[in-house]
Amino acid sequence: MKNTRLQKIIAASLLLASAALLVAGLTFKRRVYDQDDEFKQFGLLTFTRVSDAAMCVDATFSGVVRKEDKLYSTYNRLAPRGKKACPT
Amino acid sequence: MKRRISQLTALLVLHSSWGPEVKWLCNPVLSCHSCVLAWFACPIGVFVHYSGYHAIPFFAAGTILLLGVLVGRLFCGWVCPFGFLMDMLHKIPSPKFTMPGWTRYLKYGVLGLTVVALPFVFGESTQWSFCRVCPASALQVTIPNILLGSYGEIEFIMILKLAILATVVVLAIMSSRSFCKAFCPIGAMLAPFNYISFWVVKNPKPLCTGCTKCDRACPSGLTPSRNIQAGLPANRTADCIVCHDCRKACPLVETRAAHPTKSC
Repeated sequence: MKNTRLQKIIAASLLLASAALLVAGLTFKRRVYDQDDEFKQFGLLTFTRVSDAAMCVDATFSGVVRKEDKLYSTYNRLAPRGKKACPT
Repeated sequence: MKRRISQLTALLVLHSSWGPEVKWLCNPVLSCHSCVLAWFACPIGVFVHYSGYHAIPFFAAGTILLLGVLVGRLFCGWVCPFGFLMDMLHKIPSPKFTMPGWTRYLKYGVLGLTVVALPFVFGESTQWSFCRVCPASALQVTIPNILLGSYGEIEFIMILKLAILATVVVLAIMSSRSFCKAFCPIGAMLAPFNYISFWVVKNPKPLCTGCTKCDRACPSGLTPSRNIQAGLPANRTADCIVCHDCRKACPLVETRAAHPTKSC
């Protein structure tokens, strides 16, 4: 039973890459603009900085949509969310 | 037996949302997170949405990468509830056949097209994403919603989804793990990791005598004896679901278990 040196190097590199991705996921935040923004008519947009892990949850029920190169929430982030089902 | 217990436990745990949701964590199995009972996120759904967002799913990708490097496709054989369904369906008596070898490459096309490319071009809610035609979603969400009368009009995409599920069920009865080998995008994501994963299916020592009992036991229709005779772990194949059925079928392993002081 052999596990070649090259396989181990690749596996170790990918482990490091996964750790880096996980750290990035926990720390990196994206601007997600709020829905039904009452200040929109004045050209002002408010947004929330959402972590990647939180956006992962949003992805499970289409809580974020992309419009005109910006990400928008489809729900009120200030209100309790509860359990939501994905419309797809 | 241990594998069946693991699969049954996973089926119950993954669909018993009596506690807090853990949907920030992707579980690399085909189980729709739209199901109200779901604990974890489905990586396919997450990747489809991120592709539509034109964003990189750092956390989801990191999770899949970590689990893939650690255990390869072990989740396919021991945890995936859809895989469990495939295994149970195959026990139904019927004419059996093996899918042609070239069909193994279809799943990479499914992954590239319906999980990455089409949502990237048409948006995360596109009708052309995998989620819209996913057989697991059809089983866990579409059919229950139809039975509960939650749907208004019957749309074409719903009919297509149910037709795909029916086809997958028929194929599963006649060909072992056909969906997993040919179409599953999660399988496509995890398959390359089998070549470098830390988890290995231990081979008996001395090396095999070529009885091919392991080949006959393999639910994926692979030939683990070739790997074993080449001195490689049996799971160093893209389509191995790391079920360990080959090891269980090996008479040399039984000999060592029966006579622990006897070297095989």
